[in-house]
Amino acid sequence: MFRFLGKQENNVKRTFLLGERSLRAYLAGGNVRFLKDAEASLSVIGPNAKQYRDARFYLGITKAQLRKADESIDILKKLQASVSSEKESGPEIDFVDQVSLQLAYAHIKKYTDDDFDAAKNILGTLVSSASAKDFAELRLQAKSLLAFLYSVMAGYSKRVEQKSEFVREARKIGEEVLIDSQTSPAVRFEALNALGIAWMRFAENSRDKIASPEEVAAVASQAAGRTSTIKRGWDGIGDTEDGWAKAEDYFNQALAIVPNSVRVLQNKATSRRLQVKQGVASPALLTEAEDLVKRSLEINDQDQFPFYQLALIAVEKRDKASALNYIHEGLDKPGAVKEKEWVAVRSAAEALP
Amino acid sequence: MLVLVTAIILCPAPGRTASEYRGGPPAKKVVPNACDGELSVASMFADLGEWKDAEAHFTAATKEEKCRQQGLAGIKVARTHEEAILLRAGQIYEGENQWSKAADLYRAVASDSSIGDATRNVANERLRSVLLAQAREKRWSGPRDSVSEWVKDAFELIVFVLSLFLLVFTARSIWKSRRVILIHPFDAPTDELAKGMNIQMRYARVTMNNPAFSSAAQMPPFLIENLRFSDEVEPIEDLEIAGSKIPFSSLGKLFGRPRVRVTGGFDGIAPVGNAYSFIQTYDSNGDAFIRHEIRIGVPSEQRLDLLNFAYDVIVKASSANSDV
Repeated sequence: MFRFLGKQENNVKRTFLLGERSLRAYLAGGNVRFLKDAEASLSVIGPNAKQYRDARFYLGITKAQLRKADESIDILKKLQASVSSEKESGPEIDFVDQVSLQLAYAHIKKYTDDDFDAAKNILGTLVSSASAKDFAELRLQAKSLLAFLYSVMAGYSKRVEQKSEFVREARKIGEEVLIDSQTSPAVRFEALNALGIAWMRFAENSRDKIASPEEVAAVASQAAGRTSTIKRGWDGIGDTEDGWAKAEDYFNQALAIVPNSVRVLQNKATSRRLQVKQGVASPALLTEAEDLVKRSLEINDQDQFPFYQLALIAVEKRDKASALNYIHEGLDKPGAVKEKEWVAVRSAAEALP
Repeated sequence: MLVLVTAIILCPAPGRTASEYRGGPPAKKVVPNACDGELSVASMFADLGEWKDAEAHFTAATKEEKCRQQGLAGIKVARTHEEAILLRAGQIYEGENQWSKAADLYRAVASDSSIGDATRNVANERLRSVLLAQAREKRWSGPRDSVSEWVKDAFELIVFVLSLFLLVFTARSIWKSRRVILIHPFDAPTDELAKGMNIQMRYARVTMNNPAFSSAAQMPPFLIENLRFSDEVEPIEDLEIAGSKIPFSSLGKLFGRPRVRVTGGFDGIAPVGNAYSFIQTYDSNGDAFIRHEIRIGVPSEQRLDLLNFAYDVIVKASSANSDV
């Protein structure tokens, strides 16, 4: 009887370890296959197991990475409610605060305004309570995630008229994090990445649409008066043309902390693709974007997203064959690019001559 | 003091000759007997101061009636000389403060029944005074002795504590080694392939221990840093103390069977090679076999495939035993 119970307990522990180590392998190498292994193992840990709390936490993180944000939020919310009274002594961040940070991140990954608001509330509460307790580490982590949130909102929020405000917030909070002497390299990296994205979104959105070649010529002739091309509501942040350079600078600073970070390499590629798409840079920049994505593929080629990005670049380059090839190759990889996104890029590729 | 004077009176002067102990004037020359010869030889030995030999010849002379008296007188004188020499030796030891040697000698004399009572009494007296002198000296040199005793005790204590520490350390190391995951170097047809494989294995191990700053990470690094992962224990190592190598690794091999043992290889055959690994657990419950196809030709693809294989091996190996 005891032997049976002991064996059962060992099996649970082994399953938990398999899930935990698979998640670590994903975090280290980026291969989504490990993420799926982690999901499979961590999902079966029952509430009676000793490892249940940690298993649910890791499962919440895993689901968010698999773009199953709804499931992730559900798991993390329940976990947050069950551990709300747990306060630990020691220099580390409390488990309940860790859950809150991950929950906020899962909300950000849903890319909806309601979830952005939810993330903002969670992070705002964390910043306030950390400031009240004079807990710098938690305060700075929450703030850099808040900067990241605003930079994402500047790109994905449906509240278009507020996008300039999101860029301002991202800049303000990100710069505050950077000048704080207690900022750790990990937090600094995130703030730099957020500032890079914020400037990229500023450059993308602050420019008035130029409809005709005549207008382009007019813009060129107004070299001294760049501000005239800035949309209403976006003024006071900076020059649109400088936005791309500033984004590039922040991305490069982030790369100095984590060289070859695939997240930053792919953000740099997006920045170049957007510049070409907006007509503010020559199509040659698309080749640079392609090179950056291919560089990220050298670090991890077991994810759909870079292939999706390459397909988008190929569509911009009007290279139908390459676009379809990348779509084909990407669909063959593990990953979490949504079906409707694949459909959209495939339609764009097939529409090419 | 009185005893010493007695001893000196008893002790004959070295210059005296054997003729003094012949018990009177030399015998008239008559027909020479064998005992006369013995007495004559004994006298010569006595003149030389060889009292043992002299005694032996005096003893031989006593076998005949006519020489017996002279022989016995000679034996007495010879013994007196021998005993006097013993007592003098004791005096010399005393003079040199060699109390233990003097005491040993007096003790031997006092307990020897073949020695005359007078000499034995003197020896007993001397023994008593030597022991007193020894006790007195010990009392005076006490602090010096106690310091050296203290140093000796302290040294013995240090040696004991060190031995205990080494024993505990060895036991702990062996216990730890029984929980370790031992990854043996992977085999390949060429050194270059094997080296490449083993480098990826080490890299995967390091990045899995701290994935926050991995280039491939898709999450903010501080969110990964916050996760408190449990890590594997380090493998047992040799310990070198004062130039001598303590064979802990040998002990570890004898008693510390690793909980998980990983072996494997990589064939490196183009265009698609195979990397494989056996994971063996001590009770065979978590044994596993892993095989991955490795793209050969494009270096970055080969590296990534090997790295993914390495991650897979480490995931399986580190979760093979739930109590590791």
